[in-house]
Amino acid sequence: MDAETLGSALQTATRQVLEEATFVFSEPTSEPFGRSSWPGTLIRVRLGFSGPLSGHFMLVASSELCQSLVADMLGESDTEALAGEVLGEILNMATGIALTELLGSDSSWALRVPEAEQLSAAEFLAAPAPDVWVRLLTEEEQLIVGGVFIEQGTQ
Amino acid sequence: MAYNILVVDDSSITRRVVKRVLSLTGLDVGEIYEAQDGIEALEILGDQWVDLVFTDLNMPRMGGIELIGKMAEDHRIESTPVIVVTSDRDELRLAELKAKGVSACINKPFRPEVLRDVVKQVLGDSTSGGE
Repeated sequence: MDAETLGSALQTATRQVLEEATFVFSEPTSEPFGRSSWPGTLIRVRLGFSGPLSGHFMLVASSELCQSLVADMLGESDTEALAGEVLGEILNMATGIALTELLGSDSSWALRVPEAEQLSAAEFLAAPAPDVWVRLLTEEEQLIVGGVFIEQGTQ
Repeated sequence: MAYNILVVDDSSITRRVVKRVLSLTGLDVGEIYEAQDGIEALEILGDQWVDLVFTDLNMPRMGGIELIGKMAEDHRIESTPVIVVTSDRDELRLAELKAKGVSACINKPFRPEVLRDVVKQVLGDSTSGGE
């Protein structure tokens, strides 16, 4: 399975989850990302999976956007404390949809617990690049970046 | 009649989402209890009257499948309906759950009307949901 197919599945699934769980609409974009895109703190979540295909998916968004997603998903005002958890839950749901699309509904896999961390744009850009990037632009023109990392020998 | 509901999930976000969505469905909901895993759920089920259980499958200490098995062994709660809320879309696994007595499975994410319709189907038309 090629990385582009994986990235497309993650992109479609993430858009679906954003729309259904947070009522945020997004479009794929080729807009490059850099420090100017994200002047503040970023939140990155990673979710590992294993089965017929193993690796992990990743989502990255600004802390500001994550807090907006908290309010949209939960209707709560204490958005800062829950920002990482909500992005992780979005990734969890998107991963389930994407893996079903990729592997079929009769396939079994295991998901690990999402791991969230805060980082700066500089730290994110210096990190190892995933096998494929996914970029989504929300209506507020905020960027969500996804990545697909595939473990060796599972493609 | 208001229904007492137990939401079992190790993700506090999912528990909050289910509670929020329940509040949007117009269903007549009484107490909503929360548990982080099957062990906590069984403690609550032993102490409180619960009309309906929502549970995740993958949880630490005791997952949803073991919880469902333990409930089936306890005559006090063996008939309490269970709805599985999961990201898992494995049809074989979901069929096995149905065979174990699970009333319904809901895939995340879900819209309020989907959850409302499933709850009405499971509890019967006595639910006094507003549209």
